Amino acid sequence: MDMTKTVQITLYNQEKEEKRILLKLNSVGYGDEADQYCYSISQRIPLRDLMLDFIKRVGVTFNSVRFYYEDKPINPAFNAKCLNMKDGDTIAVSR
Amino acid sequence: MKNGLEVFDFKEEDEISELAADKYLSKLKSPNFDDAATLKCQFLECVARGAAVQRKGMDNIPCVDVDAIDGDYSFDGATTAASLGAVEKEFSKEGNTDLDVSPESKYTSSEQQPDLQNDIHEFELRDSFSEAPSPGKRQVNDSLSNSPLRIEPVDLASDANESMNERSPSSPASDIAADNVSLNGNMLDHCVGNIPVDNIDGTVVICLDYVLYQENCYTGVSAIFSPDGIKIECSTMSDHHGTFSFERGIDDIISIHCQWFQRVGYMTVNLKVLSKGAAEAESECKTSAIEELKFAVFDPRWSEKQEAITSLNVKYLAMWSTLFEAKIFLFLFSPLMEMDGDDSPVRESYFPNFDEPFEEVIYPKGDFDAVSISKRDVDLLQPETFINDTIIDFYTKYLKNQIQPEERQRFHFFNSFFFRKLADLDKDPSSISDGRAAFLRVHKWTRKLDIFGKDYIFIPVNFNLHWSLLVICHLGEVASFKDEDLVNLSKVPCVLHMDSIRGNHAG
Repeated sequence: MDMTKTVQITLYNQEKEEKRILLKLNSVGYGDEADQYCYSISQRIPLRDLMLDFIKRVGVTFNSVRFYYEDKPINPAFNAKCLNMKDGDTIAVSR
Repeated sequence: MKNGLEVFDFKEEDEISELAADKYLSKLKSPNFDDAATLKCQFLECVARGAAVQRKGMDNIPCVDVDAIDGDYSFDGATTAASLGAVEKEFSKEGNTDLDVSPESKYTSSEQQPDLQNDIHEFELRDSFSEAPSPGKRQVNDSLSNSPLRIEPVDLASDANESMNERSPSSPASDIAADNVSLNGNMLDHCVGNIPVDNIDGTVVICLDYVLYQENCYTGVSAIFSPDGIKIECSTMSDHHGTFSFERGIDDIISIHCQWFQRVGYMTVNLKVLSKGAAEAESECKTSAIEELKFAVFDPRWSEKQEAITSLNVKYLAMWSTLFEAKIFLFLFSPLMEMDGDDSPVRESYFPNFDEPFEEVIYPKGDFDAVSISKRDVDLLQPETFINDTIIDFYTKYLKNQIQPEERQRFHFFNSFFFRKLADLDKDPSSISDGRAAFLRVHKWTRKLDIFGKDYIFIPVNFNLHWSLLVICHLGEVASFKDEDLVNLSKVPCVLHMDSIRGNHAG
């Protein structure tokens, strides 16, 4: 996979700044449109925000994509903290 | 009149026919007697009245000669109750009816019947109630108990059924009731027509679809719940088991398990009872101390009955448990997710900002990797739509949770993402065969569990728009497996591919 261009998006809570981690997206099972995005996200922001941001950028509906962390589907209400995500971890995106 | 004198031995039946007639009377007054609910209501009202009348009648000297019109009348009342209707047939054969209407036409036109006879006979019936114990009804019992009818009960029953169906298609249970009555005169004690009797002496009668007891199946049965116990009896006409009766005191009943299929108004009941005492034990029971009896009821209004039964004696309530139809059924096919009970999936809405509001169901609730199912996912269960991964994942989870906890260790369920990740098809189709690359993609998936210790591993597969299932059996045996063991080895390691469409996956 050649690194053509990567967009980094930052999601954070303006009122309460926290430590951010970098999460990469990885397309599984289709194209590679997700591979160009990575998110710098506050640990306590629900991953729903990431998902919603992603689907808007890619132009698909929420229900047509799936997000997995390790082998588990991501509950949109959870945040990086409660999933024990580490800096540099990958979220698999599938549809 | 044949056997005119014997008539007087059947006092209970007299009472019942009185009741039936009385009920009919009240029905005539109601324009809406197709409605089972109204019927029951009216009937309950008139039970007391009927009983009173009956007592009065008993005191009088019975009159033997038959007032055919009167008799006819009471029979009409019994067109609800097939048995009495059957007797009516008998009656018209004897030519006693003044109104010469053929039985068949009466059955089928029973709705018009009241119009024809109502005015004429109402007076007479009242007369006979107040002055004499209506002879016609005694005659009914007479011919019923001396039954040439018994030879042809099936026909009669089916006749009755037809008319029943015409008149009240909404209460098929009543057909069964009717059958009972026509097949067995004694049943009249307990069943009047299609109305299960909430009797004066506090019993609830239910007419059963069938009964399974000691590996025999009985039909045309009715169960009588009383405060003291339960009694089930029938006469089996079709089988060679002979008559069947089953009676237990309430203290003998261990438990009553019901499964209620709301949609079809069907109830199956599992009854566990202690075996009966020594005397009957030889003839009736087998050696085991606990017996099981199953019966099924077709009754859309079961819940009322159940309430009535449990109110008879608090002990019923204690041993009663109702299971609603399998959750998965409700769950998958009810778009509104009408769930009750404590352990049911709970609605939670996580996406308040979405353009269309929908309800999420999280299953199993509180789990780290719970599946959340939206209305949209459920809609995919409709015909001619494609099931998505959410449904598959939900169902694997559901199945997993159905397994006994101690057994659960033996199985591993991958989610639907596993195969997709493993094959990762679109990126580079040629890499499908590259086992190592595929392995590297998923090798972390099972790092926390002993995959070789599992007896069965399930992998849902979606390929080419089609779902199938891979089952890997006894993976742990591979290491020690030798070809020569094949014959005597009980655990043969293998991979099964279960596919509803014949064909194969490239993966």
